[in-house]
Amino acid sequence: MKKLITLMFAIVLTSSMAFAQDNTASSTATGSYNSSDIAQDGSNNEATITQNGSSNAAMIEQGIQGITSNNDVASINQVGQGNSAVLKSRDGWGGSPAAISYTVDQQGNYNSVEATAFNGPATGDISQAGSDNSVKLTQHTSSDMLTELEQSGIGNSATIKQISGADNSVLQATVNGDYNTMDITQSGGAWQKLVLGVSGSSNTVTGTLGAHDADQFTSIEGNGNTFEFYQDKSSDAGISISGDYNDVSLMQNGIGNSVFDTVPWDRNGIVVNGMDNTVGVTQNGNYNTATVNVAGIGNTATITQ
Amino acid sequence: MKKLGTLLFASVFACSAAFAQNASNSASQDIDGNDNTSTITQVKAFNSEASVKQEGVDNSSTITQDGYTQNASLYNVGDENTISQSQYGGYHQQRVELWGNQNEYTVLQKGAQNFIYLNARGTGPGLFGRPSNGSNNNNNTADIRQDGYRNLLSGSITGSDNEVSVEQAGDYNKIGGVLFEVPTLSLQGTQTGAFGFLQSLFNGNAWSGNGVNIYGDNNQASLKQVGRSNNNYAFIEGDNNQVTQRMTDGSDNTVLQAMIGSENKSVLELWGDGNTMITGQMGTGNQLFLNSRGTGSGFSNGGGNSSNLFVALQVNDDNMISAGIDGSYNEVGIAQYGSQNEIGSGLYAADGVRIVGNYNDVLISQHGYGNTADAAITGNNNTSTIMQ
Repeated sequence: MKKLITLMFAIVLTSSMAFAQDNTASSTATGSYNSSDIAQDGSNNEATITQNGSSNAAMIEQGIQGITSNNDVASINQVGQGNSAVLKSRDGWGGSPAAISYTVDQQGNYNSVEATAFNGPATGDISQAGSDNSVKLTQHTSSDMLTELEQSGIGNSATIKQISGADNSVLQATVNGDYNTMDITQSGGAWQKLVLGVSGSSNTVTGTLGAHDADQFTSIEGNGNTFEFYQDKSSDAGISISGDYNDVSLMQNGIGNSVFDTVPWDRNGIVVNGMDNTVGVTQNGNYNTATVNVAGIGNTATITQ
Repeated sequence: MKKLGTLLFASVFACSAAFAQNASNSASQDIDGNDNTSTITQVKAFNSEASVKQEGVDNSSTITQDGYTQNASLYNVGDENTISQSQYGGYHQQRVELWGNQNEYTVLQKGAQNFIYLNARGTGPGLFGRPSNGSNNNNNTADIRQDGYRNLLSGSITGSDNEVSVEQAGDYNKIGGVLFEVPTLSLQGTQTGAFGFLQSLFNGNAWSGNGVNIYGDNNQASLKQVGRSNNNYAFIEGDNNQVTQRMTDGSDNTVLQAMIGSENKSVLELWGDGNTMITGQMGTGNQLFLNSRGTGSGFSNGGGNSSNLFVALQVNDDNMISAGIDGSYNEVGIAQYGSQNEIGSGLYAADGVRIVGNYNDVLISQHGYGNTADAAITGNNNTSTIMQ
């Protein structure tokens, strides 16, 4: 069996990539252990991979040659177990505000997503339904990035990074289920926003938010969840907890931080309803404000300034 | 077959027949006029020669040879002539030189190691060295059949609206005598390897007299082979041509096709193991369909359709490729250079590249803008790559 290696096409494309645009690629696989790759350069491209089965691999690369790559759209849909989705996007220098848009939808267990967007305002929409799934998402070297993440099931994990010049970037994450973990890093920029909703038990979320003016709005429904957040100056936090045995730790460093009601969060600071919850707020600096409202039995709230 | 009953308008009528038996006979007829009939029959002989030279309209020539190492040749100038040449046995040769319109050429060879050369370009020695056909070599029909093994056919046609049908049944047959060493897909880009080889064919390399060559428009060619270890070459230049190459019920076959022009249609159908298909089109509005699904007439679903190599190249804009492959361990490489090209729904309603089987590799490369590629795979352990 002769083997084809994608290197051939990588070399060939170097002679024609300046003209590549407005292309559409679609790849569909039904079965197991299949591999589907799509690579596109230029602008206004669209790539779609659909796989049904187990142990399949999908990869979409857009703009990896470094030329101007705007308005590209990528979509991966996988149904089954043990599937992997990889997205690599790069906007060329001088790209437009609508550079990259990608969507991943996985249904099943033991699936993984690895998405990296570089140098362009990427918009990502990732959805996983099942157990023991993972997401590793990195958006960097651009402002105005947006990620919408939804994980439903048990034992899922997510590592989200919006870093390096990630001003005005937004992460909207929803976790439904138990024993899920999420690690969030928004750094290298300012005016970032985290909107997090967790429904379930024994979930763990850690977050380090932006350099300044990075706000978070978090809603927790369930028991035994653990949250640990770090924010820097002039940042706001609104956190709502409904359940028992939850543990929330918030550290805000610098001046002008606040824990109080903030649009669009219709809550008054950190609001706790339930039993045996623990809330710790530490503010290091000046001109900080913290409010914690507790309703229930056996709860503990500590504010340190 | 045209009737020979229009004798009222014949300026010359001659009826001649030759029958020969035993070894090393020679028969020749030189006819100049219209509505003539020539018949040569040579049986139970070897090393015999049968030669007919006719110039006129509505002439008929029939050569029948039985034995071994017989030679038959025909030189025809004129329109609406009918030629029939049959050879039984082995190691025969026949040469046909045609120049004119609406001629019918029917040939049958049964046996092994036979050879046919068809020249319908107006350039053969029997055609008085005419350098050009003057656009008067149209609407001809050639029907060629070779049964046996190690037979060879080569033919060249210049003109339009011609129909060519070739069928070879057996093993080790060739449509095209100059064999190519088809390179594998290269890791060094499309300037070398199978794609580079196809591009060299667009420059006219190795065309002349090798396989079936057609120069003109609106021609149709059907080149069928049943068996294994066969070669099937076709080279076409012009517009609105349709060429079908079908190789069924065999393995280790090689089909090669290159087309230059626009609005052409290529259909390549293969079934078997270890086959190689190399095809390329240069021009606009061309369509290429690869059928390796075991469907269509002539297929019996033998073998497993495994370990085949399919390479297709289209150069220029608004072209289309569609492919359907059932089998495993196949390797598919498709490249399109230009814009508004599509790997999608084309001839025979195949939707893009559709593969059913396991361990197949598909590589699609499109260079340009406004291109579309669809690949659908059903099975396990397959690999699909699309580069745009």
